[in-house]
Amino acid sequence: MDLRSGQTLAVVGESGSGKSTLARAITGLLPPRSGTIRFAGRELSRDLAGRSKDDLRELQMIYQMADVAMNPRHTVGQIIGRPLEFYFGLKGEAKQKRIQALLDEIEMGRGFADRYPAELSGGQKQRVCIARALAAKPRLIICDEVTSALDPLVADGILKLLLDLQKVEGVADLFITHDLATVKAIADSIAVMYRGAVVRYGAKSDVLAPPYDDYTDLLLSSVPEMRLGWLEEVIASRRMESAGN
Amino acid sequence: MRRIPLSALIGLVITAAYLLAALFAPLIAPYGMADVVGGVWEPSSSQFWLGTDGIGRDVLTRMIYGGQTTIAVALAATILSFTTGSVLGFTAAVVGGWVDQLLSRFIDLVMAIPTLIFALVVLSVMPVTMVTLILVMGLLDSTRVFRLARAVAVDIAVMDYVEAARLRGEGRGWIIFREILPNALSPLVAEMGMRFIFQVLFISTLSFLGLGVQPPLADWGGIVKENKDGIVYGIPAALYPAIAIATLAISVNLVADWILNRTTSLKGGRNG
Repeated sequence: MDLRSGQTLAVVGESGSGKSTLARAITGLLPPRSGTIRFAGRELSRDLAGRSKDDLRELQMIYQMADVAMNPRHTVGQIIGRPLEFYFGLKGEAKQKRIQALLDEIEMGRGFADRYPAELSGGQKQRVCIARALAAKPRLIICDEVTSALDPLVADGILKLLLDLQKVEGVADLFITHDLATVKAIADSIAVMYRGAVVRYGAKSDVLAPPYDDYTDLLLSSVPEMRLGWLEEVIASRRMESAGN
Repeated sequence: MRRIPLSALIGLVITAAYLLAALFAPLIAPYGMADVVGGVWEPSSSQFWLGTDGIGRDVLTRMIYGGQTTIAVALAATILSFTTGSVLGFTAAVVGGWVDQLLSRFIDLVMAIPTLIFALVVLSVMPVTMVTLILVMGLLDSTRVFRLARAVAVDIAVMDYVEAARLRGEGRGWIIFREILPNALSPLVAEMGMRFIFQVLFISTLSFLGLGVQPPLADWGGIVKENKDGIVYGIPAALYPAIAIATLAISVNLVADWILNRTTSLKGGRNG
């Protein structure tokens, strides 16, 4: 698989298919058993300890559960401010300004910097997590099921925000999800995973067009669809049958 | 400011009274600590509120100075046990692997030996000074704090925010003190009240057995020891330290309970 800057790669598959494991291998939390990870022309070390600060900075992660992705005892300002301080050595006034700019980018107003995560709504929490990732000026953001815990409207807002930011900042997104509607909406390319292996990979238009392999077919056909008028159709076909007899 | 519940208020007042009495002992004690001022085992009177002890010293004075020694030693030992216990416990939980195994098994080993016997052996070999007393009490008790701190930290260390900090490249110091410690504080503080009382009992036991605070310095366990023979003759001098220890224990725990309730019900507490 490869992923260019400013593009979105969606990784789909059922639970346990290895999507999150892939993310953990890329971030270095779980050293891969085989294969290599190349990033911006260089090969990344297999485990976390071997990576440089820049490697870590350019690769950011956003989690599924925003509740537990932020320390409940840190304020929003501290959460967003820490990467600024850690990677860029920003302090005092400059740091506060950057925090404010980031809060503006995620469409959250002033007063939020002093709040604790428990005082935010689910969508706001996820926005703060996005701001924390952006603070590091990353080149790749891994989004691990970021909208699964949110209601559809809020999830939509988060997706829009991610896409807008992608346009502005030119980051690449690796989007892990099991929601095919999301995939159709945002992905440039798609990788389908099953039992720890990629079974289908390519541009969105190729992957989502027949002929399918068996697993992709199953996956696509298992999405519930809203179909109006099915009852009339059934009745009509029964009438046809009885008329034929 | 939220209202303080009555139980916590009672606890606070009594604890504060003991602490202030200990702090300003020389100012409020009617006589000198080791001065013989009356006859042997005199009953309570306007001159000696709690009577006199086996060699004619004022019991109230001994109680006030005794509280000073007992509370100071117990407090120092508690602080020592909490710093060593929680730093080691957090390290074991964060580093994991063989470091965790080594530390945990060593702690198990120490805990397998009854604390009092361990302390008696060490103190009978080493010179009994305040420093050795505090070291022995603090280090022995830190095993229990280690257990608690490690258990709490293991729960917190698997949270996504700790993983996020590791991904950011943070060092162990940051993870232990900035990510885990603030979230582990409320169970630790509640435990601290308990451990402090155990230390009070421990130092009193040691002094009663003659291996704790040495005379003529007063401490509550020592006062029981000095006056225990009087009980047979109906002299209550040995009972006052028991009353002091009991009231201090209850009031400190009332305060600890309140702190625990307050910190966990705070938004952003450990469970939400």
